[in-house]
Amino acid sequence: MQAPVELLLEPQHIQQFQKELNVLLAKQKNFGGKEPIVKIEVCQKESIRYYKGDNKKQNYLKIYVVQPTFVAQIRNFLKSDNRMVCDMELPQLTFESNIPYALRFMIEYDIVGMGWIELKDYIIRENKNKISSCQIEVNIDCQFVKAIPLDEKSEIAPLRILSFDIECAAEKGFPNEEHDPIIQIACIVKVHNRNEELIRVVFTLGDCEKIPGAWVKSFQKEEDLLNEFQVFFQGLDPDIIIGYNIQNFDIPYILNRAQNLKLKNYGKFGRIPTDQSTIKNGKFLSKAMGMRETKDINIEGRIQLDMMIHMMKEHKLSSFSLNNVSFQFLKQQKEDVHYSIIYTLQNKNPETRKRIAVYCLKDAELPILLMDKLCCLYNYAEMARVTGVPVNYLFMRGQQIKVASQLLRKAKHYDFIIPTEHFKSTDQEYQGAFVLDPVKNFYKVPIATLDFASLYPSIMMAHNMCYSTLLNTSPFKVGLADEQVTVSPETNAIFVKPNVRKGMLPLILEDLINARKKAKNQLAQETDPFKKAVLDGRQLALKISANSVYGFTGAQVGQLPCLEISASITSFGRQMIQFTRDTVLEHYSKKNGAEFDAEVIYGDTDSVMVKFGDYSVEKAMALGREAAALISKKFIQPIKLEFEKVYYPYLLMNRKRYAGQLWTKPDKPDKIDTKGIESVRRDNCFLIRKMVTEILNFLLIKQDEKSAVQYTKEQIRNLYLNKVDISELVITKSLNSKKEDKDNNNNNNNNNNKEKKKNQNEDDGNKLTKNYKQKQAHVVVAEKMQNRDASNAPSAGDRIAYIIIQGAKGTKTYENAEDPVEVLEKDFPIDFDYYVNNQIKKPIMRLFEFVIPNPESIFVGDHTMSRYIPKVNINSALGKFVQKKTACLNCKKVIKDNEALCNFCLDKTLEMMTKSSIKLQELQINYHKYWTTCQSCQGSLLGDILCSNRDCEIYYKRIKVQRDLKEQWDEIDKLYAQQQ
Amino acid sequence: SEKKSQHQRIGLEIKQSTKFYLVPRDKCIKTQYCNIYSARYLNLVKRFQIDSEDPQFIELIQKIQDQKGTIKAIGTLFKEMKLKPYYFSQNQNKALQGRSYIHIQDYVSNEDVCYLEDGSGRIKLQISNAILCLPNKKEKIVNVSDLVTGITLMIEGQIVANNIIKVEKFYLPSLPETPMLKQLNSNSYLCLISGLNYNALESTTKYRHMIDYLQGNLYSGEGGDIPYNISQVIFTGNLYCKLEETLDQQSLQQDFKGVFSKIQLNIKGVDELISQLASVTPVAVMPGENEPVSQMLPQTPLHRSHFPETFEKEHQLILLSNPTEFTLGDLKILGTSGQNISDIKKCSQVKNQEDVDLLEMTMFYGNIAPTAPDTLISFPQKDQDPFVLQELPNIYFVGNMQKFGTKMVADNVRIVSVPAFSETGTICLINLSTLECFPVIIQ
Repeated sequence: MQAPVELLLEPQHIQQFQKELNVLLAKQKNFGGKEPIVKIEVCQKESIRYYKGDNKKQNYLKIYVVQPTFVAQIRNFLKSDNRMVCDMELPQLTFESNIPYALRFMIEYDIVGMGWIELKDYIIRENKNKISSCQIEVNIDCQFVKAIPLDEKSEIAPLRILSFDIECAAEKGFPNEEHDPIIQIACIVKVHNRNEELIRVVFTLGDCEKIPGAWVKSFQKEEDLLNEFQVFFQGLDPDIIIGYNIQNFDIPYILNRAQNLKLKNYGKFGRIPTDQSTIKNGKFLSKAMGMRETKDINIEGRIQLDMMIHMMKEHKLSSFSLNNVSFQFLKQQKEDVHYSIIYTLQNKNPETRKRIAVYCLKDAELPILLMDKLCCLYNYAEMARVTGVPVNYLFMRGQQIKVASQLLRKAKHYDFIIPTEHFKSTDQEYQGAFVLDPVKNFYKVPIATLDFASLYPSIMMAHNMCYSTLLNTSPFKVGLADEQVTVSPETNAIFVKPNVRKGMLPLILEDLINARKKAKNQLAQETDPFKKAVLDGRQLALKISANSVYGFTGAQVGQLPCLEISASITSFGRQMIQFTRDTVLEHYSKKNGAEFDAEVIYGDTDSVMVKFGDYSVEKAMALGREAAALISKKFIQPIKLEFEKVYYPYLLMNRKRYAGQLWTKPDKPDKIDTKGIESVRRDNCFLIRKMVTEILNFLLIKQDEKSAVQYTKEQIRNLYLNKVDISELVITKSLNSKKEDKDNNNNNNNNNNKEKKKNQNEDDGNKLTKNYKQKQAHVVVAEKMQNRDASNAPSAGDRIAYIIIQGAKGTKTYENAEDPVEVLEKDFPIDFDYYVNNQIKKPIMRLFEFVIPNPESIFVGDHTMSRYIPKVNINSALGKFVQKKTACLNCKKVIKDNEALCNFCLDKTLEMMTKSSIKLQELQINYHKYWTTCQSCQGSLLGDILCSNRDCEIYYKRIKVQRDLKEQWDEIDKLYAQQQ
Repeated sequence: SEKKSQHQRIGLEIKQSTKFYLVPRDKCIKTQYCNIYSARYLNLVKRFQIDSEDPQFIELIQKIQDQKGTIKAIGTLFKEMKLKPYYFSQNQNKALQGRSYIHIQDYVSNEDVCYLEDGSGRIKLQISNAILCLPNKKEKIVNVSDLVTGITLMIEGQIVANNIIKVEKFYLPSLPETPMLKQLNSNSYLCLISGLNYNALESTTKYRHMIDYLQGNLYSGEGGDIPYNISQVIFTGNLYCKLEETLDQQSLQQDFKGVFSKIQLNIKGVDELISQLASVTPVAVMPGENEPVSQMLPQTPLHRSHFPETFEKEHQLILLSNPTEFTLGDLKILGTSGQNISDIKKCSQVKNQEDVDLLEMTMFYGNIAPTAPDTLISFPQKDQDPFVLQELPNIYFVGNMQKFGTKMVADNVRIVSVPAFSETGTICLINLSTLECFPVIIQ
């Protein structure tokens, strides 16, 4: 805190002050009667906030305490009203009093997370004195801990990685830790950087057949299983624990089971044996991911890397099931054994329990494969090194601590100190990035894209924007002339120029950007794959870090928000985009001798899309490069406008919604680039995702609008004729807990009521009335499944797949949602109108809006007229009144059950036989393809396929082809039988 | 015609075994493919010579952990082929290539890995120049690319790492007992013809010549009386040429009439040929991969409606399954229309070997179609593997091969690779008394 002047007159005043403060504090219950303060020092520092003139260092008191927790207690004391010591009212504001202890230590000694340190003058503790389960413990004075710079030693330590997965057996529904036992735990151990696994173990409840390549340890009691797992875990002493959803499921389940079984001394998974691992329910708020409920489990000295959380953070996917994730990234479909089957397998015999074990091992293996494939460890290690935080902060905490760590390190170097401020969330908002209104159209000329490279970091550097360069008074008052400062547009914030004082944030950014350049150069030269992974991780970490600095200044509930900075950054950005547009329009105009008047058709945040005119791709690229160079010159370094790519053709549908063929070289296109187009969302059925992709191929690659329209019509026709594969029509949604669903419904009601008031006249056929509780299709399906087979019913968290089938007139859509397997087996007729009108129409209309004059026309015409007429279904309500009759294959005349053709059509036998056989052959080929694919996915020739992975399209195809093949074969058998 | 009467053809009756006729389908379609592997394993495991006292022999692969050093184990081979077109890889290719499927004819790559599996587990095999011990006491050097999925083997090798075995020797199951051969009183021949690939739009002269020869109407120099002594002619698949159009369900509706008219012409042409031939000698036909009938092995026989003229005239025509097993007089005969061997060629490097050597290998494997059901499309079986050789036939023939070849595999066991007639003009004749076998080339 800032030193009160009185204390500085005589040295003994400080001692007196320390004594009195200690006495005061000791009275507080937080300190348990202890004297918390050991030392108070006076030092010369400057607060980082605002430029206050040249060399304005002041005296500050640096308070040393006995225990790290006392820092916060003292800070709180100072915040309170009775902060009178020695008749002085102490200042309320403290500095750097909210830094986690570990980080504080690391900053003091320049140590970075995942970096190497060197110890000197240490004594190794004898085993009996050890307080942890670490292999080595030393006594050392902290001043002998020395960080080794990364240039000298950059490899990642040979960390021991344990990946594990548990299986539970529940008789009914989803396993519940109160009564459903853990039946298996599979572990796979690997050392980082080594290819082979060290060991795979599976602990099983009940005897289990051996598995080649794995150790199987069987137990008769769950207690023994859990205890043995703990012994194994402690003995193995892993550095990193990974798995899929371990943080919110596996680890808590193990701990809670142990508690329910009243196991003593359980939960000692950390390296400090006295600390039991416990579960804390937490909430994790991050701007990127919103509020999520999490479970924090303390496992001292080990890193928990939950691949599911990692995937959710880093990737946008329609589903985060391990199946889907491994399919997307490892190109492996994963067998999925439903938990209801697990119960049956568990209770059968050692052979079936082995089946679970093999499956469980696979689930333990996939997270490791994913981690390696995605270079997770490298990327996390490099992020920790670049930002200087301990690696586990990267999992547990948000973006801010990373910037804070860098800022603290930089500030320390320049004798700045950072105030610990307390902010309440305000509704204050500033104007964000600038978006030039899109001129929506389908462009069949090259569109050049001009991008500002790292826009926000380069603005901050160019204009020297920092807490320490911002003025909160006029330049005149701190002795500066007007040319020594920069005034931001619109916000009018004033920053001093770098020749007066260089800002901390620009310094950090320069370091990051230079380091990234260096890493990229090294990467280009490096050949060793491990080192390459390290360097790639580093350059990525550096890029992300540079971009998060802006966010740090703008985060209103953050550590050190400064809206003057963030608002000024965006205002510069907006000005630059507008300037770019104006310059392009001015320079590339007929008036100035160009062949065409250029148009700026869209601009978003850091990019501007320019239509120079009806040029070739090559010419457009040349103009783009020229324009970028021309405009870059007008900005202060390091702001740079770059030309990277041309879109041709380019379909601009709306803000942040476009598709185009992307070219970076004039000779051939790179790929199709899309933004905001519904090709990934799971709420859409696969059919629409497929159609959008195909249509874009027609429009952008083949540039054949006619075929695109024809293709679309063909698909609609096929849909109406029931020729679309059922797996393409499956819609899935995840089932929330009952309570949440209720809440959602209530919210929906409220929202809808509000809306209703607003648009009284609008047709609200689908909206709800006050007393009517809306049901969602997937909830209805879940209920139906529950009623059919309670043991196989889905529970909260499951993804429910459904298909909309035809219902009686006047029924609501959700009532007609049905389990796809049921639809297949019972041959329910699909509601094609629903699919056309509610699933396909909107996105397809959007695609064609600027392509053809009347996109509505795609949805009317002959191709929508012929409909598949479903066979009357014996299982349907109507079916009960209908008698099934066999019809002649050729003329449809009613014939006897065991016949295929009527007497008049017998001469058509060969024709019918041939037709039937061709159909049969196609079905047989598919049958063989699906079932052998699943057999080999399942990993054994001799095991039955049990998989019920509904994320996998084969699942439905497999069932359907079975039924279709049988039907087709029956038909042929009748033909064979009839003429003999 | 005077000559004809001098030679009385010996009438031998064909009796088909039920082995390749299907069990009721409604039960079987729900059966999974894995059952056929279990049945195969259980059937063949009995045919290995095992010393039950041998400490190196492990009965179940899962027990491999209890062992050190050299081990022996029996299991089914599984070759993981990187290029095998699984459903997903196909679909990804489809996305890349627009709408057309990629047809990979050859699945062999350097990255292929072999595993040995029994009901208890699977181990990885390291194979480099291992010795394959054949049941005829000969040995061969083999590598991964020589092997195919589905064969049942005993391995002998060293445990080199967790669950990995370096194989030194492979053993195959012993052959079943050799069959008897009864001498006939006079010369009698079996005639094998495959791959007519009849195309009504092309010249049919060579087919006429063939019929002429078989009817004894073509002068053929020495041995000119052979045609009169043919007791049975067998057409082993691919009577009709392959359809150029690949038909899927969608185009079937629209184009069927056009396609059928072509098919019908071929069917009619073949019917005429066979009707002529069957008027003088008994004929049997097996379906092959080109025929418009079920494709899954065992293939169901063609239908009477494919041969309206022949049946109308009440000629001697028997419709066989593929593979087929029957007795002709006292001879046991086994044959296929070639899919089993072509599939082995796709999955292994052996394609450079003589066709007849591949036939011989399937005899040694004790299984005529090891790659079914993995890559060879076949019917799921509940508790039997019909392709396992329970007994040795006197004659084992495979049609639609590239080259003629023949061998005696054991006493009284003749194997013949029958080349496609459309390509080579070759038909094969086997003397039923001596099992002597030779090709006749018809220009």
